[in-house]
Amino acid sequence: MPLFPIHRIRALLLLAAAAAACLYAGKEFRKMNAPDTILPGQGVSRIRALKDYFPNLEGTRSDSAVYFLESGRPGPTVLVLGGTHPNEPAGFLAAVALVESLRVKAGRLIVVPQACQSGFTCTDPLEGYPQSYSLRSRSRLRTFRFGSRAANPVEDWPDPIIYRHFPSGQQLSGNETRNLNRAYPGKSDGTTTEKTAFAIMKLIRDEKVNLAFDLHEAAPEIPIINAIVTHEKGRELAAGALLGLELENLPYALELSPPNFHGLSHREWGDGTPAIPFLLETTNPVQGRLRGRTGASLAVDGQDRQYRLAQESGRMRITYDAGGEPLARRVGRHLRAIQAVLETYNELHPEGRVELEGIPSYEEIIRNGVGSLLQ
Amino acid sequence: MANEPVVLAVMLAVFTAAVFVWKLPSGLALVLSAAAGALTAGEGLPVRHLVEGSFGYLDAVLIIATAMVLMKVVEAGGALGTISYGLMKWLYRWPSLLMIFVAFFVMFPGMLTGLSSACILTTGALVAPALQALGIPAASVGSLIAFLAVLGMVAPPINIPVMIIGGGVDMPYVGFDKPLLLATFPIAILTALYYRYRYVRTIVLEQVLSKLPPSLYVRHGMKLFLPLGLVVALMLSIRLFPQWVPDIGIPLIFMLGAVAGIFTGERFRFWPVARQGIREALPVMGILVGVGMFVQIMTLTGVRGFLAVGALQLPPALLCLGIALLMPAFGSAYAASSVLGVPLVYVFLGKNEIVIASALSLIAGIGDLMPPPMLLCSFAAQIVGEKNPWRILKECLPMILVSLLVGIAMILLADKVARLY
Amino acid sequence: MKKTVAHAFVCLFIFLLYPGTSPLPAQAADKLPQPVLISSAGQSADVAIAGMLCKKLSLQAKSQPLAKPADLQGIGTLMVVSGFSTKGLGAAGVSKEQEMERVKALLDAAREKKIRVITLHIGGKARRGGQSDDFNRLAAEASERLIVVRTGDEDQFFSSLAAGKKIPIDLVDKISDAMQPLGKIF
Repeated sequence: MPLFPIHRIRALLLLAAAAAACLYAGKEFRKMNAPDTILPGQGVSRIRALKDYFPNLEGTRSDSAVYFLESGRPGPTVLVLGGTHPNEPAGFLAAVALVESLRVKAGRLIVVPQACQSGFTCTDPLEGYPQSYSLRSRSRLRTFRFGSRAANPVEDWPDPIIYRHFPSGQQLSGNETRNLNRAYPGKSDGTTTEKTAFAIMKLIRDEKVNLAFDLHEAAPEIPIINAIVTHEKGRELAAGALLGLELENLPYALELSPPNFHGLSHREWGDGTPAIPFLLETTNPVQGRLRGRTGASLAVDGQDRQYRLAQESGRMRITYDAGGEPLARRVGRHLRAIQAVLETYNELHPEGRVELEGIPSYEEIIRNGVGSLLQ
Repeated sequence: MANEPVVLAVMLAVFTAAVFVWKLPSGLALVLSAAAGALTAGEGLPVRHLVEGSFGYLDAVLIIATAMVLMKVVEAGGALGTISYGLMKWLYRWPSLLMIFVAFFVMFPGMLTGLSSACILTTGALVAPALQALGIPAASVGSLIAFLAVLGMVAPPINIPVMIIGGGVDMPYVGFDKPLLLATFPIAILTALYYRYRYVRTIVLEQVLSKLPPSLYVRHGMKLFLPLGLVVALMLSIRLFPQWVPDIGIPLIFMLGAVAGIFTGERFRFWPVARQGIREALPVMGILVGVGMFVQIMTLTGVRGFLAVGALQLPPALLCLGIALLMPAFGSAYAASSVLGVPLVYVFLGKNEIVIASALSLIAGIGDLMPPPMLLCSFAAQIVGEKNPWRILKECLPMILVSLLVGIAMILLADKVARLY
Repeated sequence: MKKTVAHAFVCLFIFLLYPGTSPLPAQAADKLPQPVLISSAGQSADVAIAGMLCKKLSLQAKSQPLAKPADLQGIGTLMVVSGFSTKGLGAAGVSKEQEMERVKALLDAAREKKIRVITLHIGGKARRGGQSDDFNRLAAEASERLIVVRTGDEDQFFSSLAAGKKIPIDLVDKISDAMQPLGKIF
């Protein structure tokens, strides 16, 4: 028998090819550990981090910056969370836009653009997601990471087969273990995701947040899109906001948080803290199950032939504009909806108003693109 | 830059050529097919996507590897033969009862873990020698345990495809026990009786026992079953007492069982046995790695969406037929549940969504038997020593047809089914 | 001649009184009485929006999504907001059948107590078809007036029901436009 029979040479060659591919891909994966650049605007008065509320997060992938925009004048405290799901870029970018462009004239705003920081360090296998997308801002080309819906599996691998929510005991599929928006109220000695949820709950309590927004996107086939989901406490504010938004031709649906579905921000923030929670949804073809070719341009332009066809078939309700669902429209919607809720709040609480300045109108955002909101 | 149908055609053509003309292993054929799809779609050779996709089923790969080690250990220690022997001696007088017992026994690990492969690799492997000794041909035994594995995955209390669908439509995993019971248990009994009347006549005990390895119960006593007892006890206690028992994951449970098996039966050398287990699992693990790449490229190039939208566009009369044909064609219960299961719940909005999701999980479950991966058929082929997994798939066809009919009937009559319980 | 004029007046009078055919705005004389009880048929969150509309119109109204017959005490008009929501039912902790029974009992009690009933459908397409339409039909058929946002009537579900039962209907383009007919009838 020869020392190097052909099958052994073939196996060695294949191994070498696999090793080279892994080396190359490993480099690509590691690139996602580099943080996104967020440029605080004039309105930012100080920057803290989630670890300041729960020191256990220090030095972990889950610690994340918390931006304070304080007016110095009395008024309510408003929290805006972006990036709960890092594959929903409009929620993240709307929060970044607030940090980079907003000025607060009364009350104060706290913004966490990357609530699930860990999820920004990886993508979801089998989804074919891009690792990043780029936009032209007011001064330069900005590139942001496109992450995974859930936290990086490296943190708590492997997922259990069944995810059991703490403290309700509710059972969900094991991959929800790393989903921040199924983890509230969190657990100080739990998984990394439960710890992140715990830190955010603590932030809401410590900072005496009055109104809290969790910015999301959903696949176009999900019925709860262009929707405000709120706790019983927020019913009136959401209804008022919805009427205001409708007058501006931005139709929204109002959904109440089901009390028997646990772990979600609109349920647990409302039950466990004095804050009134609102979860906002826009439509995002890049995370949809019916989408066609997947890539950075789909994330930014939101143009997808398969969704157009699915909508034309009329078999199911699909929220998709035939011209596409660009980021500008989705970010614009988030920013307008936040303002509409705050306007209603101001109407109902004239004694303690929150006043914001520096966000262009929805029409301007559509006209000038989402980059116009960024430095 | 080709459009989706062309990309799909190229991927399928390369896969077929690689398997049937170049005689490559299925796993490698899937890798080539994925790469060809990406090139055709104008994505170049997306190394990052290919490697990322290969991790898509990493957890399943680990479960399979450790399960094979466990089964080889249990076989070498003598527990496997002893169980088959005991089962036959205990129930040979009542062949129908024997077959029904075997059916639920095989389904049990799947019901507990939600994993179809666990059924074949554990209880399926335990009963396979006994069933073969009864005179059932190897391919038929393989088809029986492969099909029961699907039912085990779908049966309550744990059904991962339903959880995946539920995760997509914000539906908590509550109230599924009865519809899932209804979707699986009657079919399981029917399957057991079908095989019993097709293959098993009166059982002559001595003849059957002579074909099985001897029972080592007298020599080792109950200690022999300790590894399997440990595995079942750990799986059960994680489910029953989650507040006290941490979920250490199925692979670690299997490994603990395997380590226990070193000391509880006949003496054997662990490393060669473990290596043999991994060697036998390699082709299937290769397929899973290849399927991961294949699915990732299908998603990247838009072929996945093209298939899903194509299914949804079917006219109402053809929709159910389309579901029955296309969902299994995804070749994976999980993939079919996520890609088609979630939108289909919305298509049938207004009907009882718990029954709909249960029925869809049954139809999606069939995907685990189907090519390209033919996951369960390949496993079963290995367990029963059948070279050609396609023969196992062919033997499964009558029961697949019955399941699809049950699934479609449940969808059409969802509200009436809901009133049954 | 006098007789003809008298006949003409009588005809005009009948014409004006006849619901749905009047060219005049909802009869100024026949305003719906307040206070208004706003309740749901199907537990969608649209009740909250209807409450907001009433607030903006300064109507004397209270919202009780799960109102029972006893809650009709002292009520002038029952405003039913129809549309089914699984989330809403979950939030209220009731099943679809229980909700159906409650709505039927409420509407029956209103009829017995001669309380005026109107239906608002403001949820558009999302609150149509499937399980929603059972509630939509139940509420609409028991009402003396319907106010419907047009996207919920693309298949003329409400307008043909209204025509069949001779119930006046106001189709509006947006939810906020419902304030106009509401302002006129209250």
